[in-house]
Amino acid sequence: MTGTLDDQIAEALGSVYDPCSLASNAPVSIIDMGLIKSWTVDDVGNLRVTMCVTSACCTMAPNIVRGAVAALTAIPGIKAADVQIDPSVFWTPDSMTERGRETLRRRREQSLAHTKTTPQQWRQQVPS
Amino acid sequence: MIEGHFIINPIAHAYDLSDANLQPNPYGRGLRDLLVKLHLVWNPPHLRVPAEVYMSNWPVEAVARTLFLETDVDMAANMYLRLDSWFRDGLCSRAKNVEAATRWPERYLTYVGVSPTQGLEVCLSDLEDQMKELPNSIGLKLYPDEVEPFRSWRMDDPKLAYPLFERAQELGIKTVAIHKAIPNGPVPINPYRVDDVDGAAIHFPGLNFEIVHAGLAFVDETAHAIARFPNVYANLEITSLLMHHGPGMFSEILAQFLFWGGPEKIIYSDGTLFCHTQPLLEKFWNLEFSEELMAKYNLKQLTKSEKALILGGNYARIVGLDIEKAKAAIADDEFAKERRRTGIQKPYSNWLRMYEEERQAASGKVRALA
Repeated sequence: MTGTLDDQIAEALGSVYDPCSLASNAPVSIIDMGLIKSWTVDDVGNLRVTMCVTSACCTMAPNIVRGAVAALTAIPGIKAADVQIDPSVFWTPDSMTERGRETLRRRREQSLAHTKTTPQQWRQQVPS
Repeated sequence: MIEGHFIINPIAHAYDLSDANLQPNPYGRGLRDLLVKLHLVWNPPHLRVPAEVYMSNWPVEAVARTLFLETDVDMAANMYLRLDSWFRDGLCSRAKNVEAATRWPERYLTYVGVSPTQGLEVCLSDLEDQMKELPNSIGLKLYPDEVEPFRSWRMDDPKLAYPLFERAQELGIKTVAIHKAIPNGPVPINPYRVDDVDGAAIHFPGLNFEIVHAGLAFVDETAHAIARFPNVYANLEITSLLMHHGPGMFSEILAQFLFWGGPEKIIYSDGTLFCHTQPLLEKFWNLEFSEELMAKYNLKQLTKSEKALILGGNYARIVGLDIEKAKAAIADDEFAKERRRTGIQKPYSNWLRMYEEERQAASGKVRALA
């Protein structure tokens, strides 16, 4: 495996976005979400990627896998891509990259500023 | 009851996960597979039932006996589920809702269910018909989408959702429970976002809105919704199973909801029978935050009174249930009498026994016919 091919694989996986982050208007790639655990590629271009999802009840997993396979098989030199979900991995936000965390933090700050949300502000709307 | 506190499980329903109930499309089987995996992966081995039992038509009586003889739950709510394009009967049928309400009115509250993608006229007629049948229903359960073909609706749609909520409120509905956060299979995720709850909460201050499965996705958005609106609540169905599967994650989600919403805005539920309520109740009652988490969210340990709010007090308040009257109504019912005689019964012992009895009866019938 060459460094160049590794870079291309990382770049391809970096173009696949976590569906929940897209729905929250804070697109974070599956690399930056910390979902990619490892990959290996053999001499003839068979790539095997191991990844996790953020929750065992994530029903978006097949869609993420499909997106990853499409991006990976577009790389010259990759003959086939087998993307496996490892259900034993327990994801936490600590798995995210600094860039991923920063994207979410910025989006949350924008959202809070937009809605002017403060903790437990509902109490101001009900008689005490 | 736990140490004198009245416990309510607002989401407990009898699924039909049998082959015969699957719609002839990939989504029904896919959602059943998801529910099977949740049962197998999120519950510890001693709290799992055999696949043949799980993938059957669950009797309402099995849910009732499990809840009221094997756990500290005093009352529950049953829902007519409208996953119509996944399951032929919607997953928990209207007949089961009627059975729960009529056999054990002192133990069960009910939610009627409609499918808004069928259009306003159909929904209103459906709603009125169900409310005629079960006029004491306190809730309306909704799903945000249907499949085959994909179609969805929004809680802030003034032409569809608002007239529906208006009529529901007139008919006595106190709370609207909307499934969010967990997509029902590989389907578009946008309908499972929570932003559309805002408009409904603003326009209907007299109704309460439960974000069901709160915390399993869109945690921040849900936390902000319960911070902003007095009538929006985080309902922990399935999220509560993280106490088994990812206790640190559960504590983090709970801490976030407490920081933004406070203990009055969180409702315990679990979705039994796909999990067993008693070990979860015990874990919740004994839950303690780490020093690190308390520092992170500026929280103190939850008091027993605050835990009691989450386990029943909040829910009783939003549906207008008088806890003292409810306690009196169940003090000497069939479950209370049996429970006094046997003590708390073994997890899933009732469901497994009922399944075996039914299997043997069916096998006897086959022999008799032969």
